Amino acid sequence: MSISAAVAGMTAGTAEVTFEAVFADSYHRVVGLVAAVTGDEGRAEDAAQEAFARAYQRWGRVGRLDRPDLWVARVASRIAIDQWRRRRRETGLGGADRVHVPDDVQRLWVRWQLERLSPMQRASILLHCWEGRPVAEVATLLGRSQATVRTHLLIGRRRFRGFVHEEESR
Amino acid sequence: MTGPELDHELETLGRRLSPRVGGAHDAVVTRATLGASGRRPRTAPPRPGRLGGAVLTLAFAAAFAALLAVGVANRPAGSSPSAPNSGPAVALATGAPGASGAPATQDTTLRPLPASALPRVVVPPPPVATGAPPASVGGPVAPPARTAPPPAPTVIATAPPSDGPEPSWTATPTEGPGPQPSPAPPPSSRWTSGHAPTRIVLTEQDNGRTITVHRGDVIEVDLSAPQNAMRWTEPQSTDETVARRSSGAARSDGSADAVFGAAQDGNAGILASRMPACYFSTPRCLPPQRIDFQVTIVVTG
Repeated sequence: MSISAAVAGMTAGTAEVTFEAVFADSYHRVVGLVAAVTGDEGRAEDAAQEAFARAYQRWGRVGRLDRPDLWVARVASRIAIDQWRRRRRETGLGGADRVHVPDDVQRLWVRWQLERLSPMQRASILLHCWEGRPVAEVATLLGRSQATVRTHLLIGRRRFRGFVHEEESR
Repeated sequence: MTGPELDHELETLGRRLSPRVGGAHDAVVTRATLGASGRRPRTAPPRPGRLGGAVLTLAFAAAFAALLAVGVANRPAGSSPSAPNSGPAVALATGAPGASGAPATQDTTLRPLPASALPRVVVPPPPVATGAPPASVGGPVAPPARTAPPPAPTVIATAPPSDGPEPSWTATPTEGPGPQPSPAPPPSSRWTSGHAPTRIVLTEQDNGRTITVHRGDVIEVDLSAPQNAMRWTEPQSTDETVARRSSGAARSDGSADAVFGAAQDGNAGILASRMPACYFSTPRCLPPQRIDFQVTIVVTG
């Protein structure tokens, strides 16, 4: 369980959870998640702040959710992935992949088998592993079907295996 | 893979990328506030700049009428019994005294006072003025009295007695990033008229200050183009019931302006941010947002 006990207790015990509490508890994690999804740490902060700003504007509804931080994580991931796709369209295929990936993100990708995946596949795996969420819930969070998320997870494992074989054969 | 390990790594990565939670929270709240106000339908009247064509047409028509009137006035006496020794027509049209010195009484229609005719007050930078009267009334630009530091914590400037109600304003420097006492900034305080309502012009030098105005006063925010390829966002009011924006725009050269009316008693903030040019393009980038211009308006009766 990754969410802090403070927010978990607030959300489980009472309906009153403040934006500030959720922000303080989950901001860094959401920024890290977005950076890990796209590999573009320069835009991770922007996407996370935009997602929190949207949550702030709708806090009457978002604050009543079971896990407001997951709502923000989903929105931030979608914003970052949309930006990544837009850049790829504008700069040509693979253009967005030429963004320099910092070392600590690269290490995280290798460690969590995310290196050769698309941002959407990374988001599926990270949300699945991060919160231990079942596939059905990850699919709901990402707005995708369960079959799509299962495919993302499967492709992620296959690509990782292929990457390991390539490295071993060198 | 275990959740807590991944959670710890994401947290560490996020802390490195965005270490300041407090600043990020402020930026998020500002972004949410500006975003919400940005979606509000514009009810402001068209900017004067967009009426440039109409203004030019009117000016041309007035100049043509003046030339025509001069031509009529220069005719030999008796050639036009309808206009003997009359002054320039443009003077009659504007209600000003004619060339002969007689008041023009033909035009008694009430016209709305143009914005440029309102008295303009440019708030001086806080460290300069101390106790001496910083400005004069009714004359050209008068530099405020300059004295050496230490600066007074509160700058108060009140219009000298005049026929109309006395406009006054109080400027209180806050702990914000206002200009430092030295070197002294150039004088920017001037009173050009003592008539109400007062028009107060705020520039980026007034960032972080608190301005006290009266109901009905007009606050104009004029932010000049930044040097570093950044652009100002359109100044927004945090409370439209107190400081109601009547017009405003962020121009492509980077400058921005807005006009607010002091509608009712209370406090309101006027906020603006400097953003890179890509923020204004489509699709727009999403840079970290911060408040680069903030002035608190206190409206009193």
